[in-house]
Amino acid sequence: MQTPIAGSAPAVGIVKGIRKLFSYRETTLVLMIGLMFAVMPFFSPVFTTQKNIIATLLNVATKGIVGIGVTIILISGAIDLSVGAVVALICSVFGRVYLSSGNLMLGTLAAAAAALICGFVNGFLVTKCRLSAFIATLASMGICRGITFVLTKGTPIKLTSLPEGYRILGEGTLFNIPYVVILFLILALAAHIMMKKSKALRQNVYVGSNEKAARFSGVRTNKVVLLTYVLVGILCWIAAQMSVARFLTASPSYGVGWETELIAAAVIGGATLTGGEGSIIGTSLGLILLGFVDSAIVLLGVSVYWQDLIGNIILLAAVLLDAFVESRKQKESMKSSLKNIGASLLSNRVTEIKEKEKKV
Amino acid sequence: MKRILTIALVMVMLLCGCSTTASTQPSTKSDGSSASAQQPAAKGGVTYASQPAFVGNSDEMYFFVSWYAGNEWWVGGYEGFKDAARQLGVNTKCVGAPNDSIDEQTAVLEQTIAQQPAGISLAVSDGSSFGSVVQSALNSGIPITTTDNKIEEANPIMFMSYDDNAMTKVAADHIGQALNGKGKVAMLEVVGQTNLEKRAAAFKENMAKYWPNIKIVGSANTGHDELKGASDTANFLTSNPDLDFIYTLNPTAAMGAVTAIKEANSKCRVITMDVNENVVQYIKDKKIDAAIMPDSYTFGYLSMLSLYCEKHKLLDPMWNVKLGEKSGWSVPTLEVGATVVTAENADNYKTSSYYAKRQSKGFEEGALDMKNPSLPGFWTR
Repeated sequence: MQTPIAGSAPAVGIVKGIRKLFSYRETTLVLMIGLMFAVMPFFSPVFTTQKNIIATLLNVATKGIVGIGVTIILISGAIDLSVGAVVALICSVFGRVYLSSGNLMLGTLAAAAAALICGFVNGFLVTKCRLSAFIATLASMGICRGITFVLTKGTPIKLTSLPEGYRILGEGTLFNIPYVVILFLILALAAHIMMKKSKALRQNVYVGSNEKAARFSGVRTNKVVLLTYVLVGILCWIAAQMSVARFLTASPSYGVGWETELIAAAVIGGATLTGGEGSIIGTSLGLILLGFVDSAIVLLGVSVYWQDLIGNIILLAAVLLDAFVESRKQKESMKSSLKNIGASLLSNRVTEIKEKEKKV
Repeated sequence: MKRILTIALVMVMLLCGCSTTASTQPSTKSDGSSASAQQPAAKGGVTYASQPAFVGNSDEMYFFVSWYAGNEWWVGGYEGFKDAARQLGVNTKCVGAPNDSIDEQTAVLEQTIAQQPAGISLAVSDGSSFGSVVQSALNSGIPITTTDNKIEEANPIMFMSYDDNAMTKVAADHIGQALNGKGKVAMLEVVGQTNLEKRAAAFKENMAKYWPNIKIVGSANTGHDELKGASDTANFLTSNPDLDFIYTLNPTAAMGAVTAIKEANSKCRVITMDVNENVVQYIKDKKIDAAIMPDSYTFGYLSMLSLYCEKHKLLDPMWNVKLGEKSGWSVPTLEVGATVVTAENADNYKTSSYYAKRQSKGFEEGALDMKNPSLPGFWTR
């Protein structure tokens, strides 16, 4: 006979809680960031300072806003390689219109129109023209970058004449936290919650998981994907406005390489390239992790020739660790499922035998 | 009446013949080179062409090929190239890769060569990858000058270079004098672009040699990226709150550095290589101390001149091999100078003002499209 152990119920509760915590994809990323915060102070005491944290978040924020859209696109089973070029294009459209008209509102509206057009065209090419999302957005990446070169004539557009009221978007802080960071965190959190709760955004998961099934169950898949591309355009517009307000320039090379970095962050954060899965908080944490890796590399004084190599090895290590944790989780859930199936089969068999015995 | 008409007709024909002979416009070949210049008339044992050596043909097209085509740092180079071409009466075109991808640079170069141009002024981001393409073009009779990065495997007609040592010495001295010989500096570099790597190495050498008490506390591979420039500068300022100077190898990174310094409320100063309109403004606003700007106009101008001379076979040096073969001279190298752009002289380096003064449309026009009579050596046919 087993004697009940005192306090076993709370212990079981804690274990269950920890297991539940680890069932979230984001936990691994938080632990990785935590690990960096635990180890890095031994090598660079300034790593954990508020100043460094804020500076890193600030440098991640504009990219992170676009990352929200990239994650949703990946969840819906598509991809967008044009985001960096679209941001650069929006910045240059804003710069050109603002400088030629002197009207801030006109510049902002023109930039918004450019963003909507880019998003719509991408969505149209993928849904109506049935082009592969990879090819369509690769082409639009080249086109957008090309238009940016035409608009900027290859050199950054100077926007130091922007009014103070606008510049505050990029320069202002609340409790020492830059507005850009606050906006990024709010947008990421809101989008994450909406992905769970909003019917409209949940449709992306259905489309990404099984497009045919989603279509047969009444989801207008083309409309969902097209609107998601438009949403990405809008997020690019917000990021572009923030970037212009911060740097006071519209640079033709701005946003180069964002697409790969954002897709990498989304994958680290739990998204798959086949669709149906992904987490906006995960992507944001992935980007923050990459930002801290960049920061650590500079703070540690790594040679310039080693910086890319070390950064990408750490990125690979993060992906591998995440994959390892995920496979463990899957194995465990498989085991528990098998156990449950086994237990139910056994109990059915026992019931059958008992019933037979009764009859006999 | 018939006789009068016949005389009149003969006179008209004679006049036409005279005017044709007097025309300075020579017949042209498909590659734009002057037929009269290539087939000189023999008179009394002396050979000469029907036009002066330094008057070319408007069909002769010389190409200015670069990477990051259209970027502001090529402005001076192409304006110089156009000026020389315009004065010689030949035309120009500016083409190039929009980035520093070796593949794209090679593709643009090969496409340019396929057009059989009269000459090419070539700037590449890494000389080691272009040897065979450049040499085969040279072998096919297309003169090529190179700029920025030497192409070791080819023998172009001239290499236009910058004196990295002298330029970075100016930057090092500026920092050294500003800090009275003691302080901390961080660098924003561009790994993979050979000329900027050389420049970074030269700066480090000059700092170590002339200002040994100024410590270079770190380097980051920032590239031509504003956001990365801001992020790397922020990291340097975190690890070294008493950082005195950021030295950037390109103006785009400098713009990011300025933003990060402002955000960190730091007193750190910036010095950069090259300028663009934003950097000029920042220098005027005292947000950037100074920029070291190479004299790209001179390389463009002299590049065009040397291409023209080679195309028209105007040089007659002393060969060290048998007459008629190419000489064994090594590739001549021209080192252009540099200037320091400060708040006092910044206005002189604004591209928009320079274009306005010259009524230039920059990279979008050829040499013969320039119609401003106040340009030096302006003439019309």
